Amino acid sequence: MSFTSIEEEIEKEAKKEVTVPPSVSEDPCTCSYYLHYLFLCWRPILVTFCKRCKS
Amino acid sequence: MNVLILTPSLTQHDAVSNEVVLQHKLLSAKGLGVSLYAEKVKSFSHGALCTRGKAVALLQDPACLVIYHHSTGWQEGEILLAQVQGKLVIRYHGITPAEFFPHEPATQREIQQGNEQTRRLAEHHRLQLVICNSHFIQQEWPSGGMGKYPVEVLAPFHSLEAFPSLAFQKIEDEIHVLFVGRFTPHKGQSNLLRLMIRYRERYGSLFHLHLVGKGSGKKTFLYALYQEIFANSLSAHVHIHYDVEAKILASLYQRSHFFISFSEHEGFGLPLLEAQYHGLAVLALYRGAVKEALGAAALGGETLDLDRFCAAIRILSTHQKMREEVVQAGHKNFEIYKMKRLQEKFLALLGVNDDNARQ
Repeated sequence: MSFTSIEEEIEKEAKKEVTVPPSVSEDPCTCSYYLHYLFLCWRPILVTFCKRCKS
Repeated sequence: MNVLILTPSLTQHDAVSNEVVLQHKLLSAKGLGVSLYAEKVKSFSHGALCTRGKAVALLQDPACLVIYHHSTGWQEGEILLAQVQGKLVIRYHGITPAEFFPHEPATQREIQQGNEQTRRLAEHHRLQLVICNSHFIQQEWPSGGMGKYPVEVLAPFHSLEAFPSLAFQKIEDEIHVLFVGRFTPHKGQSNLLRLMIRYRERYGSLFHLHLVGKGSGKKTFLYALYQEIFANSLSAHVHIHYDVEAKILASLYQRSHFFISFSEHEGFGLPLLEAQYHGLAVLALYRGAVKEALGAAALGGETLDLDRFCAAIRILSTHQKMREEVVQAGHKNFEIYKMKRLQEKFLALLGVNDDNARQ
């Protein structure tokens, strides 16, 4: 089968100049992520918990 | 008829080990006496594993068929192969080039040793047949050996049809992208993060990226990957699933919409097939055997054009019909790689049929 029409649509979309201000600039909380990271990589890093996790 | 399968190591969640077990199952079901020998066995048990002594005895039996899995340097394997008296078949999985492991000198040495062994194996006086994972891998086989014995292509065995069946639904108001592969630089996880950043610049939102795999060595790459995730505020959207069991992997396949591969080298790329089987739209950078494995359902490119990949995610996530078309093409491609077909071809290549199997 051919994806010609799909590829054409993708090509058109790729050429569009679309730059919008990011609405997802900051992550809500990365604390659990830091712990995950520590567990997997076993590297000592400075962990600063957010207010919610601290309490 | 006896068969001895030789492989450097047997471990869980490893494509070569998985194929060794499936070959054992198939040949045993045909009534052959099959033994396995591996120098390193890690978190793995199998009733057919034999001692080195038994392996040597089988190697010296002229009626024993020896299947040697070649994917890396294995000194002990070459010592064993010097004793083969029967028919030798090499299953060639390909060897990842050393340049992809710039910070792993031990791996580089192993690869160099593997390449030197490939050249010697190609000249082995008992060699009757070479079975390569893909046409891409076939081209790597030393041309000096061509003509002396057949060099065939057979896709790797897989357990896809035995994947746990779970009834997860896809979440349609979010985009979930999956990649399955070892955590090493050449598998392209860093470029997937770059894709996310570019997507955010273009569309002001992020998709979820699920990275599944295992690391090797000191996990230095995983450490660097986490640094990149934090530095670019991606941690709420990147999910690392380290060394997960089959059920979790199956649930990730079922819940994801896209499988994107930016891997720089694939000898075949079984996860691509897994994704097609599970109904994901697969987008890929065409490296190694990737385009060959995806067949007519290949959608991607030869160059890492992030804007184009962003556009593909955008178009296929907003046009359900188009995504469905890609998914259907993937299903159709998977038909070529159904286990029954692969098993039949494997038996035919070995010349195993119901008459000679029971002799």
